[in-house]
Amino acid sequence: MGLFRGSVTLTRYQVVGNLPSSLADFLDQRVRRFAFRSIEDGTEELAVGWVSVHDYLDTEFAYGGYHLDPYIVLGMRIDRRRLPAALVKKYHRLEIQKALASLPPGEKLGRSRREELKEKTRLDLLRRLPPATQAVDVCWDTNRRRLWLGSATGSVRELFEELFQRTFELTLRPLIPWLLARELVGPKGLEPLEAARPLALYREEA
Amino acid sequence: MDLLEMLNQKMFLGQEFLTWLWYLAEQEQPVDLGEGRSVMVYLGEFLQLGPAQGAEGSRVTVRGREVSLAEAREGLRRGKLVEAIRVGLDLDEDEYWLTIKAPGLEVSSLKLPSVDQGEGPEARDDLLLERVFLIDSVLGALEGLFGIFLQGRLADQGGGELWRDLRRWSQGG
Repeated sequence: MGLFRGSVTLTRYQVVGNLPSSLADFLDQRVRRFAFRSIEDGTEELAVGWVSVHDYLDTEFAYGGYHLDPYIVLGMRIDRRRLPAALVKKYHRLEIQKALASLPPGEKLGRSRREELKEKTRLDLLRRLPPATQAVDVCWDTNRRRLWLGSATGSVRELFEELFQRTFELTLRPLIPWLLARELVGPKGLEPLEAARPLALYREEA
Repeated sequence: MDLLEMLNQKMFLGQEFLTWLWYLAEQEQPVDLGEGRSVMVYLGEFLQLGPAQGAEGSRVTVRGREVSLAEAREGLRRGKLVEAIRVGLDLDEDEYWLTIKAPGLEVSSLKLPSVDQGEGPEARDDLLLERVFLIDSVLGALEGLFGIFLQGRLADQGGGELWRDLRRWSQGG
């Protein structure tokens, strides 16, 4: 989802907090530490991390740097395994049938055994299900402390804000009209801005 | 007043700004952004109006090339404001199209002018930077327009000349 291909949908942020003076080293260390780690062979349901903006398979940033001074351009890769509830239910029932068949006639499965079988079913299915991959572009202007995320989806924004905060220990503030307005009007305009109330276009005639 | 309360109270700014953009589009005049830049605003093929902040009511959505704005205008006359709008911006001899939504001024489906695509890693970085420049350019123009809107809107408690113009226009005057 992108800033760098096709039509653009984005969320704007202001980056709050101080960057270290040795910016390049700091970025390199942090981006590599929080680079995307594959969950292809596991059972994890979610993985989020940084990748090259050019290729989401590139976590070594082999095809060039992400630091195009003053911009940091990165991809955020999200891999998810989503198990449909109906699928878990079906295979859980099959597991229960198998387990019952191995018991003496008339004996029942206890609640905890059923729960164990459900968890086993879930893990078996997760192992067989390849994760779906989504990559989202990120562009951070380190001079102006502005950042664009190539998505406006709430769940993607949440994952991004969390990853960014963990990686750089900086806070993101969505650039909504009120905050933008505060910036644009400057100190002298703050009082009328704070006093402003909604105005009506339509005025009822007496 | 805490930040969240303040944010909720000021959500109307987005609606009012988008309504003013529609007004600008109908003036068919370039707007001076300063520093030698100007922008022309065109109305695109999507417009959504909703109740003003604090009011209740239904939404009016009009879309498509052949759309009649009569329904949207009627919404304006009944006190609704623009919640989402697709606009074209003619800027630095380039044309951009984007959809903007209140209350967050979220930008979506932004169509940028085409960029020459070269080959090799350097060309790839150049392409990124060119796209960054174009996005920055259009967002800068949007912020410039928002700044002009605020200057007029905050001129006095009644919204200044800007609001009086907007009211005349919305009533068909």
